[in-house]
Amino acid sequence: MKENIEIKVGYASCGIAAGAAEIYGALKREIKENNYRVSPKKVGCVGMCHKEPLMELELPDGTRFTYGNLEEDDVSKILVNHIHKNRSYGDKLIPGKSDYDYFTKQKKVVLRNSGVIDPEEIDEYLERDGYTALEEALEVDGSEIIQLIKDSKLRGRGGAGFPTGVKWSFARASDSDQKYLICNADEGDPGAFMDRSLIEGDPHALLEGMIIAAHAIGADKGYIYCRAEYPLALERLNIAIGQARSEGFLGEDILGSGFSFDIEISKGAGAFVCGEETALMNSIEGERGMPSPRPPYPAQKGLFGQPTNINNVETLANVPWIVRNGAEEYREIGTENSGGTKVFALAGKIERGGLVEVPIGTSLEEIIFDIGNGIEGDKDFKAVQLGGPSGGCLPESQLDTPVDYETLTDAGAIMGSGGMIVMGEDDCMVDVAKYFLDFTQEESCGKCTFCRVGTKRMLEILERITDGEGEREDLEKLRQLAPKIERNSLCGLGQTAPNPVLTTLRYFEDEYLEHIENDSCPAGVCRHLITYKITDGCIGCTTCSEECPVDAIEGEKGSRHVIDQEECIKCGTCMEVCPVDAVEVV
Amino acid sequence: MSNKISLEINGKKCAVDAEKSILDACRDNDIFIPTLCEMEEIDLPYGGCRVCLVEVEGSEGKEITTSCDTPVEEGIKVKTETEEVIAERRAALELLLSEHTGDCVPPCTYECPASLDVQGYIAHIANGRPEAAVKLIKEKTPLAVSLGRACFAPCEDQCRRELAEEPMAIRQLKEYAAEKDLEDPWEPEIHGDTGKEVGIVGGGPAGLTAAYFLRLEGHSVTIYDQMSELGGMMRYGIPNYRLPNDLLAREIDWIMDRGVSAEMETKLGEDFTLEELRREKDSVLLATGAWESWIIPIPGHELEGVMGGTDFLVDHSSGKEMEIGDEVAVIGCGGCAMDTARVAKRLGADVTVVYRRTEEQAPAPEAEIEEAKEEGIEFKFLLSPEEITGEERVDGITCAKMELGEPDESGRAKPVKIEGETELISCDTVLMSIGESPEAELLETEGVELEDSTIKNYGKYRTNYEDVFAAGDTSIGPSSIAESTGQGREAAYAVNAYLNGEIDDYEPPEDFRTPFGYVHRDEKTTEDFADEEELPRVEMPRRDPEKRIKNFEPIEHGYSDEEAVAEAKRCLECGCLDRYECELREYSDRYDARQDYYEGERFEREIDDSHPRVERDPNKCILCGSCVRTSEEVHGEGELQFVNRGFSTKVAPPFEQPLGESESELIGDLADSCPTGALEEVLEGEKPGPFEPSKTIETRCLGCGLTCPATVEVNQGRPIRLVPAENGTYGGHLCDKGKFTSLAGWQDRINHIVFRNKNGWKKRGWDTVVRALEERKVDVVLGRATTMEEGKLLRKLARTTGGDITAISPREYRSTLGLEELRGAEALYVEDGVYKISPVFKAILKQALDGGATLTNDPDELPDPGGVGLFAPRSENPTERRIVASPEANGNGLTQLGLSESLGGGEVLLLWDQVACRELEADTYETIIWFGHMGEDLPNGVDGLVPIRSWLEKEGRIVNSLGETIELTPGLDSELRKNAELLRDLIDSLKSRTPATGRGM
Repeated sequence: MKENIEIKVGYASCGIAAGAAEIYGALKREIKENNYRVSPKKVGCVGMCHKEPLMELELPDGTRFTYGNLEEDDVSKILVNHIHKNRSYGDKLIPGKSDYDYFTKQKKVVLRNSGVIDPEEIDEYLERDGYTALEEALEVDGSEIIQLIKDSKLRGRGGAGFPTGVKWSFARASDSDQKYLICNADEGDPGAFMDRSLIEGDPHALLEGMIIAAHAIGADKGYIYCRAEYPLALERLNIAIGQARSEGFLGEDILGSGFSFDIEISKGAGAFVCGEETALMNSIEGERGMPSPRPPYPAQKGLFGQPTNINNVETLANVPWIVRNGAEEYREIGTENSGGTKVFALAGKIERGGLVEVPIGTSLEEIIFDIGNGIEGDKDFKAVQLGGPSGGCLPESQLDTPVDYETLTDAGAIMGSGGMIVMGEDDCMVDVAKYFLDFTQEESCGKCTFCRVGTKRMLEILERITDGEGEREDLEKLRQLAPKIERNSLCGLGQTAPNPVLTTLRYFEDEYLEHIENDSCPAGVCRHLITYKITDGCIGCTTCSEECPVDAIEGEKGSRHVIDQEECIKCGTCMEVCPVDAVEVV
Repeated sequence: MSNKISLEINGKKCAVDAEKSILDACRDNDIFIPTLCEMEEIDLPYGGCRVCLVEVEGSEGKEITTSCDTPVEEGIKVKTETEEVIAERRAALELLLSEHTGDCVPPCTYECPASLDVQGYIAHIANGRPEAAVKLIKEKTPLAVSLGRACFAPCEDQCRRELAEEPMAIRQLKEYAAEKDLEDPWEPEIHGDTGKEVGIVGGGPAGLTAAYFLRLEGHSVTIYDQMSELGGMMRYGIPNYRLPNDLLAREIDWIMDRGVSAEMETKLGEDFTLEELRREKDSVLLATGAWESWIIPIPGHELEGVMGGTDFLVDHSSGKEMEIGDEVAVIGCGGCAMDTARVAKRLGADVTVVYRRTEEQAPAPEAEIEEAKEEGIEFKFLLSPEEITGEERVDGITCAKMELGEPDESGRAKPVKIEGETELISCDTVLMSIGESPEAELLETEGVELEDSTIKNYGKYRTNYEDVFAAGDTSIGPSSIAESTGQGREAAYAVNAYLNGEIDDYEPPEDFRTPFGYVHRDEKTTEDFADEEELPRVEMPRRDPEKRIKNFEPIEHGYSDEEAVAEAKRCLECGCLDRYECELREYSDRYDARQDYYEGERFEREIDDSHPRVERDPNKCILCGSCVRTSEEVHGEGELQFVNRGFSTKVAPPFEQPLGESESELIGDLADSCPTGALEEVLEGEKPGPFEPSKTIETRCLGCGLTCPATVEVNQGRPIRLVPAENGTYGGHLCDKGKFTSLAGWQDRINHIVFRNKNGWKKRGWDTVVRALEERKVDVVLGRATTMEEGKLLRKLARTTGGDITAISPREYRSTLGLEELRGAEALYVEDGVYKISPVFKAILKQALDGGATLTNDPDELPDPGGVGLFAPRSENPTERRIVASPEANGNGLTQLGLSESLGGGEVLLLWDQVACRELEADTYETIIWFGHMGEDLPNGVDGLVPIRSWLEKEGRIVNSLGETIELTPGLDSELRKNAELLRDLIDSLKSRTPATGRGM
């Protein structure tokens, strides 16, 4: 039993952004001033973004209390309550994990340490069986590890879902003195933060996974390609690599096994396309991050012309767990074709957003409604975007889809790396498609025609539609051009860029048609299509007609005013100035 | 032996090496695949353009995929031109076109109804080659003079020079070149007789043009014309002062001299029937024109003194006695109305032109209205004749006053009557010049189907009879000479196809006229040309208006050579210089890619013209990466790189430094790697064209001792540029020195002997040369392209006179190794200065290094064998295994001749060929004579120039830096005698002259 109360503050980028540093400061101050017997600790992401900043208090007897949405003042009150009054504090208390279905529906494999241990302390990782998988792995031949991974049905978590064991076996089979292992930490989807949180919360899990993978394929040099916009992740990785080296987990003759392997961090400049394997390798080599045609495949001729294996952060972080617990246990978590869990960054118009880890096969409905508690503000659900800009938007009718590689692809979306953006009734689906396409268009490396020009031309059509200048033929043009871009683009970025447009066209064509034929945006988002109307609530105060810059509002004092739609420039002034909220957008 | 894989391409079984791509497999089997980014030299495919798509059927089904990056697999079936494949390729091209901005052809050329290459012929004139200009014109029309004198010049309306100050005088430039050609006309090639006979009814512009082109195809052609002289409306409708009859007659004679016959005063329907002609001939072309004037049927139109304008002109031209009053009103304001008014004026009348629209809307060319005004003709606009008044004869016209209203179908604002307002014009003659029509009744009687009073078009210039074709006014209604001649040419090709039994598959030859981007004047504005130097139009001298109204003498005097060149130099060269090399254009044409299918944003980026010979137009870049890869992977220089992302991605030099500031000597090579006009080579001369190569010569670049295989493109007998030979060994590249200086001076080259006196250069005879050399000690300096044979003869010459012989840098060392050893080297040493002499060594070295060679800093460490040292001439310490780079093409060879290190005290200095030395020690010699192929722009001190055959005209051997003996092949004809003959003659003359018995010029 511990002597002190242990207090963990969620100290990942998300927590810090919400004010964790202030909370941690207040905590330290309180402890010092009052001489409390409390051990404060910074941990990684707890997963409850919607409750940040967070603090978890563990009493010497093991009981835990989690507080969320904290403000600095709360800290002393919580401490006073627990220490002096031996009771919990008010409404900032989050129900215990066992009876809070935000957690009950989740299964923590990859995130098992995240938010629990101090990521900057290797000892804490070791305490929780850290690096025991490595010890085990080093005792057997690489081919056995590969078989284990194959058996586990672990598939690439970067998005494409290629069986990891098979991928490793290609790299292993390549004959070369020099082989590389690359961890792709170039997380670029808008709204996605799985890899960042994972690294910030449990960097050693990744390192351990990498070392095991390197042993399996016979690589002696590893790179972690991580974007420079993740300073905290980079810092924690650097610390972890240093610790692993001094403990003998990295470097020459690891744990006396004769196997040598070291890891270097390569910082990316944040180009989305560098998440593509060949572009990523070009970037590490110091070239412009542009994809190259395959073949040659990285497993034959990759980084610096040598056989190279590239895996995503989450994929590698799964590896130690599988080695420790066995393939069967892992496989049992997931579905028939795909073992284990998947981490999602649940974001958008969701009541309880955050980092969630669920068994593969969990339905979208469970994630969005049971874990996420539905749409914020009690609004109606409209769609969920999976897989970021490469993925697709699924409507309510698809909510029973289990999250698995094949089922999601059939529905028109993709598993992707785990971005899950939830949209409600106030979201315009044409605007959403435009947003994602605008992103991919700007992030195109510019190399191949279909991606560089094709996505631009699609985007221009969408812009026409949201500007109210679309025509029915534009939908045909989109439907005709999109598959050409998918078929003929050089890399995954272009091949998937039309997805958001295609799925929204598939499930929300009526919304497009509303824009085109009725010049209206049902969600009230597209500025050019909004109409301002004065309701019966008008008291005839004349303020709006006085303020209207184009004199488009007429009406007698004391009677209901009317907006001349021909004259209206949709500046919104009337809505702003109306004292009785009698102006609405239609 | 490498592993072979069998596959099927377009149904044909073939076996190829296992590691090949589908693209290579197709190429090996001579199957065409379009690609804009593939570079044979670089192994890894790029995969950028996505045009090389093919259908592949393999174990996993059928798919369309890029062929450059898809390896062959056993048993796959490849199809290269299925409908789907073509649709996908077209989509790729259309996307590329949607961001490709520029002018493929200039607006003038785009607008020309006769499809003349306006920019091309103007460039020839600017470069002092009117004969080449005429030839270019005559590829499209035999009526160069007529168009030069009387075309309505829509090209000038489009000319962008107007946005700088005034449009080019395009018509007059054509007039200048065409009339120069009349002196010694160009002779086109005529195909052998086909035995087929064509009858052409009508000898106007359409009929004459068709006759000419059908004759060139070898058919027998007879023209039947109702008038006594050929020329149609050119002869009878256009007055002498605009198109002089004698010039027209000479132009027509030239056409008839090709072997066209004519039967004059023979009218269809009167002297023969169409039925008869069809029986007699294999095919008939109707080009009967439009000779019936329209008369507006307003009250009074039947009064005496009312006449059709065309009738009036024809009567006048036929020499009929003309009765014309004192006051003439001409109704209408087209070209014909102007002619009518001006002829009436010349007959002594006061003339008023009445037009119901405004001056701006008038169809007559601005210049003609201006000239008519100068001649004292009055214009009344916005008046619509309502009634012609008079008893028997006309005494006036009542006109309704008009104002402009809404635009009509033609897009012009429609004139509408102002109620109740009229104006009376007093006149005794009314000439209605509002239009003409073909003789419809006559044609109908002959069984020809009509539609809207012209002959019904069944496509491809056909009529309702399969053997009868129609062109010109009779087919499309009243048209200009340019439109008619264009029709005549195209109809001739259609008739030819019919005669060859190919009419069903025949497609009229349509020029690739898609203008990319800013062709329309409303898109380019004066602001775009604000920085352009103002060069006012060189006005062609004309007779004074007072004098010209007194008679029908021609009013234009023509340009002098200087004036024509000055005017031609004003051309802004809007059209793409890579028009004839552009692969994007070639493929777009092939696959019918529509330029505006995917409309959207385009960039307008600044054009970089800082480099003297390469212009970089980023707006034409399709981001194929060829230049970037050439610069990085072949040159290792990094002259260009990619910048930005997404749609904004572009190619630019590092830090956007202008190309002209680059120190690289391989910029021209980047232009050669560009499949479009984004990097354009600017040709030597005042105007770079573009000129279509009419011939190519496979030869060697003699810019340095590396002698890279090169192709010389020739246009009309003149070499215009050097490009790397297609299957060039060596680097497969050319450096700027070789590429840009090898043809320098060709422009001004002179082909006769000149000597300098105090007034400048004077033409002299061979005797002068002999006299200048005899009894003197002649020292000789050999130039860079001196052959072994020439070197030996010159050595003999020097020794005969007791003089010395050297080269600009006589070699101390010769290469002991060749290309094979260099490519396969294990280790390499490169001495400073080698790249300066032969920049292409960079590319070859890169290949050796990519093949595993290492570079060393110490030549003594080179392994033997396996090591190769690359040395500059006069190296201190060359190793035995070496290649010596020589600045002279025959550097290695000349060393073998045993040349002197320096020259002794000769009295005469003889420079042979291209001596790369512009500063001569003139003081020590009495006389310096240069035997070379160049112009008169020679350094001070040179007293004489003797023209000799150039490297493209002479035979002989040279030994290059790699120790290879190369035979030169003369690819160009020369009027000059062979260099060896000249030298032998000179040696003999010098030997035979007995010592001094008095000299004198």
